[in-house]
Amino acid sequence: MDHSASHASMIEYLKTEILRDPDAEIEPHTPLVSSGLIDSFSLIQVVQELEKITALRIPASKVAPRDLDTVSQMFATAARVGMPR
Amino acid sequence: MPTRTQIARGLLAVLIFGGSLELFARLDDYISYGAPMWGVYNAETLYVRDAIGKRGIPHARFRKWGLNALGYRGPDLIAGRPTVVCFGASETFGQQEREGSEYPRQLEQELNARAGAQAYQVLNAAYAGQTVRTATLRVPEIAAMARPAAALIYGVPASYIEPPPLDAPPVPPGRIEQPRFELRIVDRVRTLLKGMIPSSVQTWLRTREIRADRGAATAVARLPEANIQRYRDDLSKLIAALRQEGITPVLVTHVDAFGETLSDSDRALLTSWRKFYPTLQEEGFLDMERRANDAVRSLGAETGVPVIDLEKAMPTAPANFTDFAHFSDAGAAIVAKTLADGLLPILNRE
Amino acid sequence: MSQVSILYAAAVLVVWMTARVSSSRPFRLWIYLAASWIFYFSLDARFLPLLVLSSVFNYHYGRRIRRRPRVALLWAGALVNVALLGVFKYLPAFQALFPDSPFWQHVRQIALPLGLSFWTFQALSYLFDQYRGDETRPSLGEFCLYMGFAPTVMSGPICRVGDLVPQFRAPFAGSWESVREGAQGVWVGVGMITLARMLAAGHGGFGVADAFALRGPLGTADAWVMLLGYGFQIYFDFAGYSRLVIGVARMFGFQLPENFDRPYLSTSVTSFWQRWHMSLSFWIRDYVFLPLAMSRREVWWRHVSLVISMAVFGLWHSASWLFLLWGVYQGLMLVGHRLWQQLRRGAAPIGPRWLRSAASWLLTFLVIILSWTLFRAEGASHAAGILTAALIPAAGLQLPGGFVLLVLGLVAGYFASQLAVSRIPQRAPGLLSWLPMPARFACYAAIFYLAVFRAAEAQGFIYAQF
Repeated sequence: MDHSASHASMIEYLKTEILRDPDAEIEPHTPLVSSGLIDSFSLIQVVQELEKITALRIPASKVAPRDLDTVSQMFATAARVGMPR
Repeated sequence: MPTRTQIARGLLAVLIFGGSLELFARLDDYISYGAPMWGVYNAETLYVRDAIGKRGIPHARFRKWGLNALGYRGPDLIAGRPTVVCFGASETFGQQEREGSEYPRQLEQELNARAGAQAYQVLNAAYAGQTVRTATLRVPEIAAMARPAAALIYGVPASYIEPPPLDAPPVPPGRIEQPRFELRIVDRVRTLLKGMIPSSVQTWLRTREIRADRGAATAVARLPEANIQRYRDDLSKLIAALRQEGITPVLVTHVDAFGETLSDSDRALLTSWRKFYPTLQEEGFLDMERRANDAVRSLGAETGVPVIDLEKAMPTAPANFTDFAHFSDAGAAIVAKTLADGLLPILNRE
Repeated sequence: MSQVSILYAAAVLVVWMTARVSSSRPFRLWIYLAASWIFYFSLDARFLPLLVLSSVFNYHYGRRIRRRPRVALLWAGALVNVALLGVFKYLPAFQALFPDSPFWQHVRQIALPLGLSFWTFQALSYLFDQYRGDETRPSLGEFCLYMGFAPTVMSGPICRVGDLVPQFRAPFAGSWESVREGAQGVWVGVGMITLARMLAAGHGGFGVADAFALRGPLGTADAWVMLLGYGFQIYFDFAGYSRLVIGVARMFGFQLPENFDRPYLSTSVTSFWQRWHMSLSFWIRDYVFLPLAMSRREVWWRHVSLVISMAVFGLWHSASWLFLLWGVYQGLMLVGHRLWQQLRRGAAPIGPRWLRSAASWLLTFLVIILSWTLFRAEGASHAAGILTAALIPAAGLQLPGGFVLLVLGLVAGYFASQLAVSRIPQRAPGLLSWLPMPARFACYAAIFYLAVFRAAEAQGFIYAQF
């Protein structure tokens, strides 16, 4: 999956599964955690989805919410700390 | 340069700020103590003046201080219960203690605790500024109202530094002179500043104030013997008046916050004492206390009146005083215990 | 206001002026560090060495973790910090198990170093962040300042290295504008602390502490009024203190994390915990809840993790069953809210929107106010007594009328003022700036009067004990 496709599929997931609002406007740089759109509970689902899309394992002890604040940060974090399955 | 409008706005802001503070002070008095919002509100509103002098208005209240039906601080007397009356001035009235911790009230608790029952009551017949002379004139009235068994006399030698002339005309009865208007915030700010300004600066300010007084120019280092003699004479008249009414007098020596040696803070405290009596220099106060207490002891021996030597019994620890001579709660507790020690054998003899 | 507070204000001024005129960044850092350590020394001289030791240890340990990010190393470092908390904070509580042992008698005497829970949590987050590969690499001086930073050392807000250290490195950001903003924060903070002290002092010598000292059967009204009184006392006290601290730091150009965001207006427990003691709440989220919840995939485990995290939140305050219970209660309420949301998902809303908001707010408010029972009660039976009175209708009122009026008046006044502020369009930043000048200065006078003339009667700060 290429860069923009993975971003798009994450944004789609956030809209339908987390925010449950298909009309929500999410860009790759929209703050999600710090703005309160995603709470800590949903964040765990997001990480699981991130693992699915990237096919990487993301160790729990290596991520902080601030590393996952935007969609583009999520993928950057996954690239930094993710381990091949 | 600020424009005229800016200056006007600034002044208005200051005025509103200050005015609001005064309003809140009055509101605070009203909510906390049920004080009137308007008019003068100070400790003097507790009193009127009769033919003898200041007299408490029955059931009057100021802040936490409340007077009883007789116009004296404390609860109403219970008919038939043996009564001890306390004569004195502000130290006895209890200026600084929490309500109920002034020494006459603690003495009552102490006496009853030792008796194991509500056996005694104490009438606090003191007010700030009462002298031995005015106390003497009150004796027949108090005897008729309260029938006390004994009277504790806690005289204040300092009131004999500048005693009123013997031939002073009596002040006509009526209301006590009060200013037309007073800012209630001023008193609060003064208390606040006392806590904030370093004591050295306060002492310096007091020294200036003392120097500005006319009497300070002719201030003496030692209180003349005549003043001590007058204190002694007035005490003996009070004793005679009490005995005539069948009340057992008990003399108490006066105690102050100063020990044998003076520290710097003691000196500052002496200056704050002198502020009330500028005509005696600071070094004269301790000498005055010593001589006056000697006079009390010799008078006791001469007339057969028991003397409770509070001066010897009371530690001069700073925790016992809030200033040069007024007691803290803890200090008043020691006074009460000492007085109870001395008083109980006398009461038991009666 | 005392001579001591004037001394502190003067010290703030001197440090500010020095920092302003000095162009050297290291010099400013050392000035801040010296001032912070002197400040800590002035408050709790005995434990300054402990603060310094912990700072130096954690700094070097964090560097090690960064070089070799091993889980075992991280846990060992965390354990040292937890052990420090354990000795000073939790060990004394165990004395109750060994009432006759002379050794435990001594243990009970161990004093709590000022702010230990706050700065130890800052040290822990540094170790975790270094393990995660956080970009911020403080110098020893910067790290010591981060640990002992005068505004936050006593009672937070709990900061992160990544937030604070870059600000230490930036040029001096104290301007007249920041001083104005900071002073306003201090002013509002003092006002809130004053309200807390009014609740503590109460009316006619009867305050919140006296209410909790009542014994014998309480009426339902008694229980709710005393819980309201305590709930608002602790809010005004801690939120006001946080405001003050953030304001002082703002004067120097620092931006500290917010700690409270009008929590009593929350319409869900979840939202409450994003708005109450936020710096600790986010700490728990980042370093306890998320790692724990992500360690298993199942949904039920997330719920369990939430309860465990809130239990840790409770135990952070003190080692007692009541604080543990308080945390578990909060965790269960959070899970309950979660499940309710899932249940209602897709269902048609009941009633008009305003009614739903009002009902959610009221329920949240009651759930939170009720929880203060466990936070404040002096023992299990005391807590049970208050809870019974609060939940099972009982007539009678033991509390004096003046105290009841004071509590209800302050609470009503608080909500009325929040409502008024939300209705009035904000023309300029600042809490009171929307008022016309005369009303504004009357408000300033009110705060000044209460703070200076009334607050002196009451006792100290609740969170200083944690």
